[in-house]
Amino acid sequence: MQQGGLAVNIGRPKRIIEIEPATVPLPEPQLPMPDPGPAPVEPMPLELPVEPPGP
Amino acid sequence: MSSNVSLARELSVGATTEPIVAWRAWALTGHRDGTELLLRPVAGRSRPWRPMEPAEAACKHARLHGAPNVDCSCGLHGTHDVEILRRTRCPAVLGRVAFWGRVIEHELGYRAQFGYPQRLALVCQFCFWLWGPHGTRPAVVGWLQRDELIPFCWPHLEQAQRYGMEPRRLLPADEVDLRLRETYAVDMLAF
Repeated sequence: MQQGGLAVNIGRPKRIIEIEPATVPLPEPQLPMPDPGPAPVEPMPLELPVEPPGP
Repeated sequence: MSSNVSLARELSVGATTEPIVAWRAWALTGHRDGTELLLRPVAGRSRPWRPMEPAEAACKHARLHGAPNVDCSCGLHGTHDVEILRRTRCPAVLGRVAFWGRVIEHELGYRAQFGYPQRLALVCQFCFWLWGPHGTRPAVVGWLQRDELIPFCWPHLEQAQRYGMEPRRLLPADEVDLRLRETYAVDMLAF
């Protein structure tokens, strides 16, 4: 048994399998990237309380 | 056995919901800039495997039977083992392929109704013939007549050029490899 776009001999047929996959093994279609919207506002830097020097 | 008795009567028939995964090799075509990449059968004039849609088997005897037919050689071919593909003519891409629909299992491989690649990698066909799948990563891809793309390692490019095969353009293999996997939305084949 030869050809079929591969040009190698795959031997004699052994059995027939009917495969109905629950999920067809195709990649998911690529969704367009969502609009990122306005740039996030930078948070104000926190002013940390300065601890008094220890004794 | 008489030649006009169908083999189908001797074969068992099973059913499953799990696609079969097999090895396969393809030829590759694309434009001179490495775009419009298409996997094609390495032999014959069958249709290309289009991105994002299942390949479907067809037979030149379509009026007589659907593909694959037990008594014909039609169908999308794949193999159990990668080593047997070293006998393939001019492979440019090696990969794992999922098969479903009607699948005929053979001693060394399969013929299937539907298929789609799952993992792909470019191979230097000369390294693959000599040493198998390991160490066949190409460095460049040559663009030749009729949009044929052939991956080469550097030593085999030099050897091919000595024997008169002169690609019109060379593309970086890493870029073509990545674009191929993006085109078909599949993962890299790990050897």
